[in-house]
Amino acid sequence: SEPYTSARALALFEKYVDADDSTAIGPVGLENLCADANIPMEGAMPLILAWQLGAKEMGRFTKDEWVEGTSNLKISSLSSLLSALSDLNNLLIFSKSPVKSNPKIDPYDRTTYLSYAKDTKSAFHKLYLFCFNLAKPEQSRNIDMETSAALWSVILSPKYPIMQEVLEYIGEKDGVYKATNKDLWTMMLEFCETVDPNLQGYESEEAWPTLLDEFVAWKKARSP
Amino acid sequence: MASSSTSDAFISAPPRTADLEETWAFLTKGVDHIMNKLDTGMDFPSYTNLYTTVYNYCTSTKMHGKTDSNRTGANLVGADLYVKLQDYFVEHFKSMKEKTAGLQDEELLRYYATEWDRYTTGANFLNRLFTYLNRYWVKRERDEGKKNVYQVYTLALAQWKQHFFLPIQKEDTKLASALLRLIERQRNGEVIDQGLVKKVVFSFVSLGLDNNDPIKECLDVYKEHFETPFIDATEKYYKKESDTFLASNTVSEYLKKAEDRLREEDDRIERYLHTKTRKELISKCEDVLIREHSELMWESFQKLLDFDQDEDLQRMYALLSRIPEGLEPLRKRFEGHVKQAGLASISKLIGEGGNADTIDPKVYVDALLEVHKKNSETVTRSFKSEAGFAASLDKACREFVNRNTATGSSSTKSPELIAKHADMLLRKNNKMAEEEDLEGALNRVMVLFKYLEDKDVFQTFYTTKLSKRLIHGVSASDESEASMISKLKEACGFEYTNKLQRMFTDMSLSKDLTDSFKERMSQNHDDMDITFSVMVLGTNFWPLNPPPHEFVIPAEILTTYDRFQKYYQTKHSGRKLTWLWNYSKNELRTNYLNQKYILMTSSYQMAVLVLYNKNETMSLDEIFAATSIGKDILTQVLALLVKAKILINEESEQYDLNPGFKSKKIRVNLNLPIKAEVKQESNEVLKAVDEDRKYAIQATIVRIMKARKTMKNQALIQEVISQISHRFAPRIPDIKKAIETLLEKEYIERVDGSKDTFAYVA
Repeated sequence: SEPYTSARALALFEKYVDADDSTAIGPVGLENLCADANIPMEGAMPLILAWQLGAKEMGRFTKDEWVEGTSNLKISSLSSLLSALSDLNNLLIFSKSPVKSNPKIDPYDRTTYLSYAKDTKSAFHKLYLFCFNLAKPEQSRNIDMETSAALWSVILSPKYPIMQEVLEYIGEKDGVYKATNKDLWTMMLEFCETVDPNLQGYESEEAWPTLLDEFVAWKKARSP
Repeated sequence: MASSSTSDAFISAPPRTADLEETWAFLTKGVDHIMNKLDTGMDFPSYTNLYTTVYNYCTSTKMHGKTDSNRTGANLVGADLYVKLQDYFVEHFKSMKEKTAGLQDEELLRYYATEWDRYTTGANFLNRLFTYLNRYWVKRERDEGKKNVYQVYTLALAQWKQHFFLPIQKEDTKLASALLRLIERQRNGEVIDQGLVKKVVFSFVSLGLDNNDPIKECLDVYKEHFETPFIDATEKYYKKESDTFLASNTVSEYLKKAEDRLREEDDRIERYLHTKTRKELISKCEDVLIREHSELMWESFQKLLDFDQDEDLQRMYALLSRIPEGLEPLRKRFEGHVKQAGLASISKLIGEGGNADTIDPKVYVDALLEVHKKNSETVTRSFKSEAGFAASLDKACREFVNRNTATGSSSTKSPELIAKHADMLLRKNNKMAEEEDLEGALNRVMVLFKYLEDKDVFQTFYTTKLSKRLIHGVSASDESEASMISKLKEACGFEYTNKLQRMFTDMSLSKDLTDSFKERMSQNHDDMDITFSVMVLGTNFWPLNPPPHEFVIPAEILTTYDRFQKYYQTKHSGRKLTWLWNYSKNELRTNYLNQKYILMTSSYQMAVLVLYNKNETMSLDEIFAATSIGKDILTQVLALLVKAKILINEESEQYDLNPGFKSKKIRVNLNLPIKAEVKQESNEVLKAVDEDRKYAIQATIVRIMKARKTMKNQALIQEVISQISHRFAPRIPDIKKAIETLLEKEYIERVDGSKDTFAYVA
């Protein structure tokens, strides 16, 4: 495909820019962009894109974010964008082995990718924390439970089977848990990392948020 | 020293230069006299002659051969005499031994004791006679390390032991066995000669000899020849006796028996044993009489409790308290017993299929107190108020006071009922007319209060009830109110009663305010035909909520209302008055009837009734429009008026004034509580408690974290529980929720890399 140029990157931005706001790509533009590039909307890739571009808001990229982000990754075509996102998706969400890189034929600049590949756990933590701040309204300390459940189902469920059960529990207790604060967000990842689907690794004496204590009690009651 | 007829044998003493043979020949007759015939006396000259002879011999320097050349200074002579004496004693015992061979038991002991008296008296005498020998030669020998050389008296004892006592004992411990048999006869109930036993036993003590310090008491002989076999015999005796006794008697009887036996053994020591034996004897008896049977006693304890066998309980307590591990099983059983009694008492109240919701607070409180009182008396009377039993009582009471059939799973029911009971006590028209009774009843409330876990629930109910008593003027006496508050303060501290005290302050300020307002109005206006009194209550101290709906202030009271508003603003500008119409009341004079009545009403009833000054019939909607009282409440207000026959409600939603109203009483009380209010009250109180607790837990966490900076999850939770449990028993999930809230508010944070540790965020 064609090599990176800033002009091509800018042209892409102009193609998907919001009809009412020339400074940013909005939700509609993003949807079109993903459709054209074959990026599935329901997976983690849109979040990875936001992360890579350092987006401040959900579903919106400013011109500055776009220009700086694409220039770092040397991306100016939809196909190179797709490979960059699916590389990270495979590496971090589906825990596949890193792709072999050859700077001469790589579709985009894989320097950042390779640094993530060295420590995928820490890279995943960065992505995970980014998602909380992205989804959190500026004035609020929390994100609502519906949004956080949606995010968990995309980011954590593929990696950690127990997450699916936690989501099932939250769904069953509809309305009991109203919001996710930063502590719960952080501890949810910690929980997924330390507790396996048979609840090995869970100690009730530890400082788990009550939602997780209650989930464990629910799960134990359910499967004797 | 006697004076009379000594024989003439001692008149002519040997010369100063007499040799050993001559000297001893003279002395031996004297010694013999002293040892065998002292009862016939010895006159002074004879004694002096004997004494001088010893002196002369010991000071004679002419004696050769027996003095050591390496000694300097005065040569000390005496060894020969000492040996002569030694030999004399050995010879002395010969006939005695022959005599004892034919004696048994008491006869033996009697002979031994008589001989002992005679012998020791003589030996004492000899000791003085040989003073010079003791003072110089013996002392010198001992100083030079010859520890087996003794003063004459001690020598006599040593010889007795060696040549008389031990040979008798060698024959099947003949002496000791005789003693033990005699003691056993006494244990069996026979009367024995205790003086004889004592004499023989104490001769054993005297025979003990510490070579290093012959003056010091030494119990070797006593222990070996008497104490050890005595303790063994005691063990066997009581083991057999207690087993046999228990085989055919009840535990209660055994307790008496054991008590008697222990007392007897204690007396025995006083009567004829050495006090050093006490510890071992008593501990052996405790072992055999108590420890060996402690299982059985523990098991019988419940029965004694069940049948209130006070004396037996006392005895069992006293006995088992003598062994270290004796009481703990009793304490445990007692705790279980009290708990069971408390639970059973409440279950009986509720009865089968009974309703815990309608239980009368007084009946409930009386039942709890009854169980407490009975068992508290048991602790005092039977267990001597021992701290461990008091703790068991407290533990059991805490259990059944907080959790029983009436409370179900609710931790707030008991505090509610007890607070309600306190309210009944403090109300006017309470049957406890006399102050003293009331004070006692309040003290009893405090007994239960001490056991409440959720003291905050009690506090909230109490505050609510107190506010009602005060605003409705139904408190029995200010003194009793103050007394109760000071009790609560004493139990829980200033903070606990702060609000309560503020309520009293408001009441007294309000009284002054009412008076000063009345005075001002009488100066400025002469149209006041309304008697007005007001209570101004601090919002934060009174658990009262303003009405949830609008209220159209009736024109009849509007002037007074406005005047008071203005008056208050001039006194306290900037303070906002919220009118609690839902708690206000009025008295109305009727003038539409032949008989004048005074209607005592709530302000809502008043607002409704004054409408009939201008109308004779009104619809519900019209009344609602004129008063703005919420319809749910309004219909109940009207229902009460209809029931009292002030209003007539013949057509639906149509209310007519009853022109034919009649009452036997001139003052008619219409101000009865509305049902919805009563029901709501408990729920509101509990909601308030829940809110308060949330903040209390959060505040406690912040306080702890501020002091400790960082803390582990578990430690923090434990600390919160310990700090807060004097007010209520916090649930762990509630504490965790509070931690989450504080994490969210960033008062605290998780320490990086340790999800179980929290840090205070300054």
